[in-house]
Parts: sequence; C-alpha cells; structure tokens
Amino acid sequence: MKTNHTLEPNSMMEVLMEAIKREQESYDYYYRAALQAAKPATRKMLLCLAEWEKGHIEELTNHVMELKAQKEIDRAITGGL
Amino acid sequence: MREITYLEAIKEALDEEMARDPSVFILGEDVGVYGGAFRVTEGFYEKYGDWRVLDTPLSESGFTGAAIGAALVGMRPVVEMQFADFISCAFDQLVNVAAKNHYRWGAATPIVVRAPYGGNIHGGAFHSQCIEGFFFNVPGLKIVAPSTAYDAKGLLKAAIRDNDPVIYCEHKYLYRRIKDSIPEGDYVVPIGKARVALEGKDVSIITYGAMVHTALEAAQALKEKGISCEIIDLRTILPLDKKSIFATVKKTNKVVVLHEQTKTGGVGAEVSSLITEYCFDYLDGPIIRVAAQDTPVPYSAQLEEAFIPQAKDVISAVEKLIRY
Amino acid sequence: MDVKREDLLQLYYYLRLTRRLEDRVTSLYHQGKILGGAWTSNGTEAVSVGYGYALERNDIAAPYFRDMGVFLIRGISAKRIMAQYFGKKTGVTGGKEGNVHIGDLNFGVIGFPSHLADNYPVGAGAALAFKIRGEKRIAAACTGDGGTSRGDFHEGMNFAAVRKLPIVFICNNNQYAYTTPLRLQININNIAERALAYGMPSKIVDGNNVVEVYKAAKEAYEIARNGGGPTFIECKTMRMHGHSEHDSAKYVPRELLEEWKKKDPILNMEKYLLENTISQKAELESIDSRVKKEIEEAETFAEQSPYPEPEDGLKGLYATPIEEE
Repeated sequence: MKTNHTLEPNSMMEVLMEAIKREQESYDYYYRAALQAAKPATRKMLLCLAEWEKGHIEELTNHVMELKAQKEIDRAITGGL
Repeated sequence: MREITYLEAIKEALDEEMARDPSVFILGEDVGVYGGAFRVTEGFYEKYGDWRVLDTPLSESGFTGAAIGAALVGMRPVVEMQFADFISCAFDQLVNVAAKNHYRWGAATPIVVRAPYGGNIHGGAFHSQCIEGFFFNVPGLKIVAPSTAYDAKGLLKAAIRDNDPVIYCEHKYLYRRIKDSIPEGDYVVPIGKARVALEGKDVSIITYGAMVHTALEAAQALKEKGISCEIIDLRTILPLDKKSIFATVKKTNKVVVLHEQTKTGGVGAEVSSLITEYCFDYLDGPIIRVAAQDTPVPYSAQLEEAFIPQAKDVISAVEKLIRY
Repeated sequence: MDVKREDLLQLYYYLRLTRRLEDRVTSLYHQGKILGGAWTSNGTEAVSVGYGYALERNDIAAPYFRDMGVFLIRGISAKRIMAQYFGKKTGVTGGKEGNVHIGDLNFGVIGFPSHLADNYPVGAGAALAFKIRGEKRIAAACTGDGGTSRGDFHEGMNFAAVRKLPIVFICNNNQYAYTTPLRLQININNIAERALAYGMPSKIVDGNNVVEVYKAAKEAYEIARNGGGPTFIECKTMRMHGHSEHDSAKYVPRELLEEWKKKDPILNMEKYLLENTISQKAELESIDSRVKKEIEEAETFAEQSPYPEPEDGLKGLYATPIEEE
C-alpha cells in the first residue's frame, strides 16, 4: 500500500481499505486521548469524535461490501474470472 | 438460525433439493464446470456430476425445450438463464409449450426457470431487465420474485416441488447485498402468498423484489414525518395474491404500487385495476404507480438512477396521497 | 433386417387406418361438422406409420401434425381422436384442443405444439431424462421440411448431438411448407445435409415406402438405445392435399402430383405384400373392412359424445392449483 496522497494509481477498493485503516487509526487516537483527558467535557468530546470515526468505518465497510457485490456482477456480465 | 446472503439462500435451496430428490437437475450456460456466471452453482458439478449439472450450448430455446421434455417424463429440471434478459430467446417454449401443456393435454411440466433479473447494476439494456411483465399475461405460468434471503430459499424449494412451470425471478442486485437469518432445516414459502413486510396504517405500498427495500427505506423516512406505511411484498406475481392486496387496501385506503419493471402494462397496472374493480369504495384517492420509466434500461449510473424508482420517488408519491 | 409378416400386416393396417380416418375427417370438415381446420397427412402416411411402429412400448414420441399414424399406433384410439375433432368431452383433450393437437403421456405421446420443430428440443429433453436415469428408452421427434428452418430444429439437433442423446429425429419432407416449395426454403439438395453440421449421422429414405421408413427408424433406434447417439432421418415424400383441407394447393404443379400419385404409400405397400406373396387380396380386403368398421364406430362414438360444459374451460390450468382461502 502506497502511503502517498495521489489516488490515481490505486483501485477504489484499495482507496477504501486505506480509508478504513485511517479511520481506525483516528478512532484509536481519539479513544486513547479520551482516556487521558482529565476534564469530563474534553473526554466527552473526544469520545464523541471516536464514535464518529466508528460510524465512518461502518459506512466504509458497507461500501466495500457493496463494491464487492458489484464486482461479482461485473464479472458475470463481462465473463472475467 | 444462521445468517446467509440472498445468493447463498438460492444455492442452499438448489443443493438441498438436489440432494433430496434425484429427479432435480440443473441445466444452462456455464452452470457446470464454471459454477454459473454469478457462481450460484459453484461446487455443484463436483458434487453432482455432469449429468445433473449440465453445461449447455448457447441456446435458450433449445435447453428450455429440453427441460420441458425431461419434465414431461418425470424429471424436475431447474434451468438457469445466465441473465434474465436472455429468456426472450426461450419465449416460445415457455409460453406455447410449458405454459399450455397442462391445460391443453393434461401434462404437468414441473420446470423452474431461474432468471437473474433487475437493474441498478450498470448492466445496460441487455443485462438489467425486469422480465416478469413479458410473462405476466400468460395463463399457465407461475412467477415468483423473492425480496429476502428467507423467501429466496423457501420460494425456490416450493418452485422446484411445484408441478407447474415457475419463472423464478431472482434479483441480482440483492445477491450479495442482503442477508437474513435462516432456520436450520427444511422449509418452503408457499407460492401464491404475499407477505406484510411492514405493518402500517396510513398508506399501503404494494411491491416486490428489490423494490421492497426501497419501500422500506422510504417508509423509514416517512415514519419520521409521522406517516405510517404498510408494505406488501407480493412474492408471487402470477397468480397474484388478491386476498392480501384487498386486505391492505381495506386497511389503509391509500395505495402506492411500486415496481422496477417499466410502467406501461406492468404488474402495477394489473394490481391497480384489480383494486379499482373490487375495492373502489375503500379508496380515498387515486392509486399511484411508481415504476421505471418507459425506456430500455440505460447504462450510465446517472441515467440508471433516474430510470429506477428511488426512495424519494416513493416518498413524494406517499406525500401526495396522504393529502386525500 | 427381416420384418415379420405380422408386422408387415400391422403396418398395412395402420396405413389404412390413418388414411381412412383422415379421409373421413376431410369429409366431415367439408360438411361443416368439424370446426376450425383439418390437417391431414394424405400421401405421407408411411412416415408416421413407419417411425411410429418401430418404437417400443416405453419409448416416447414427440410428433408433429402429420403424424396421425403415430397417435394410432401408440394406442390413442380412433374413437378418442374422432371425438377430439368434434370438440367433444370424450376427445383426447376433452375439447380443450382441436384436431391434431394431440398428446397423451399414458401412451408415450408428447403433445404437438403448432410452432414447428418445438418438439425437437422437447424430444431431446425426454431423451436426456432417459440418459440421466440410465434407462434403455429412446425418443423420436418429428417435424416437416418447413420446420427444419426454425431455430428450435437446430438447437434441438445440436444439443442432442453434443450430449449423444438417445433420440432419433424424423423429417417428413413433403416438399411444401404450406405454399412455399423446398427451393425457397433451403439452399441444399437434401435436408439430411443439415445433420452434417451437427456431426450427426443421417439417412435419406423413400418416405412413401413404409417398410423402408420402419427399417431405417428401427436401426437408428437401436443405435440410440445402445448409447450411439442420435440419427436424423429424412423421409422424402409428397403432401398430396393442401396444407389443410381448406387449401386446394393450386400452387403445386398438377404434373408433380400425378407423378407422386403413382407412388402412393398404401398402393405401394399393397403391391409389396401381394408381389412377395406375403398376403393375399382377400386378407388385405378384410383388414380394410376392419378399418372401415373402426372408423364408422369412431364417428358414431364422437357424434354421440357430449360436448364439454362451458365451465370445463376453466379447469386444468395448473397441475398444482393455488389454494384460495
């Protein structure tokens, strides 16, 4: 996996997988930060951000499933193996 | 209970029926060694051998005719159309031979024709069609169209055990996109019976196939606006379950008929005619059909999205109706 | 192959029975007693009688509409057939179908659809079932010369050849598809050449010689029965009447008909039986009077049979009716 920010050489599947990875990292980051926060308001905000990232992961995962389902249909139409 | 996809449900039904009954066999293009274009029959060739999973020449009329002949002498063939669109090549055998055998000369023709149909898959005009309308006007055929994995399995089993020709419309958009909890062991979903996919009281949405999910999406949004929708999943298109249709009309008095098939002369036209003929007094407003536009299925994602009914189309139809 | 005397006499009997039944149907049609239409096999009877008689009891016939001999030989009685023509309840299809649209699986006869050569793939499917189940049964499917230009002819032939199915394809080449002569139907000399394209052996036989048709069919059936795959048999004959009995067939040159008249399959068989001293005039005459009586009885039966009730027309659409609660 290339870590540069040019999307062009990568397939959409790779893009999504990378995005999931990044969201996971963000989630972990916010969650750990929340555990360290002494102020309840800060902790609450960081946990909220973590939850957001979790939502993104879910969305991206659904999209991967969608892409895979479509790929199977494309394969059926074009006859690719 | 286990969770399986729509496609796995079809596969399980086929596998279990083939294991249960030696007269069940599969024929079609690339169904054997390759396991089918959509891999529904993957592994079957190895399990059942090349005389129960037959790769055929590219000849829909020929192998549908052959299925009919085999059925007449005691077999229960399951024909796979690679894409439902190609069923047009077998039109004559289905319409003139299979559909009429029992009425004309008393011979049962227990064949199932699996038709992977429907759009939203960027397949263009020859890989996306809804074909149920072509056969809807043919007495003697049965047409089913499951919308869930549970029904996909149960209806396919029922179709295989049925003694009449059944066109089994499997929506290929749903193959790997939806999952259901399936009970362990054998069950069938009876042909000819609709189901209530969502109970509601304000408006009925009568639909089938992938559009059931579009209807559910619309119903969710409408619920937030305080409108309660009842969704009827027809499951069997021919013959229609009139009883279930009339029951929901009498309950909500407002009807949207939703399908992915094109509008003119479609299943929705018949459903709404039946309602006006038999339940006119129960209606508060016009029956609104939400259906695909009357064109071939366009390819471009933007055009296809405009072609296929979307949740927003259902929502606006319901909102229009609720004013009555 | 030697054909036993009793079989030769049976062939003669069925030729006579077919001819007399169809002649009677023609008269009744002109009298207005039979509605719709009357298609006959006049002049081509040796084809259906020959290939039909060569079948074994457990075999399956997937005939076409000039196959009256097959219906009779398989055991569908002249009475039921006549009642079918009258549209009576006692007819083969109880009035649901007319005339030659006959099928009855109790006698191993698959119904005939008007879409010609549709029974080629259907017959191949029956043969496929036999093959899957490992049964030593065969199917015979028939169509006319016209039907060989339809896709189902080719799809059925190809599928059967690829899978070496136990089926024999018969073609009643009677020179005309309704009004269209062979030269406007095919660009080859013999229809049998079409089998070449499918790697299928073929035979051309004199379709006015019932013994020849019978022998060719019998041989091909045995090959098919023993795993040798399908054969195509072209029976060259001539349709002596119009496409159906309303049609005076003015488009057929009279000289052609005159020429074929001399080769009439029944006179042909009679001559064969007498010249080879297999039978005598008296015996053949007694067969014919038996046939006459049978046809008379069939007509009386049909005349006296009841018509179906209008509500019968709603019955039998499905083999598994949908229960309405």
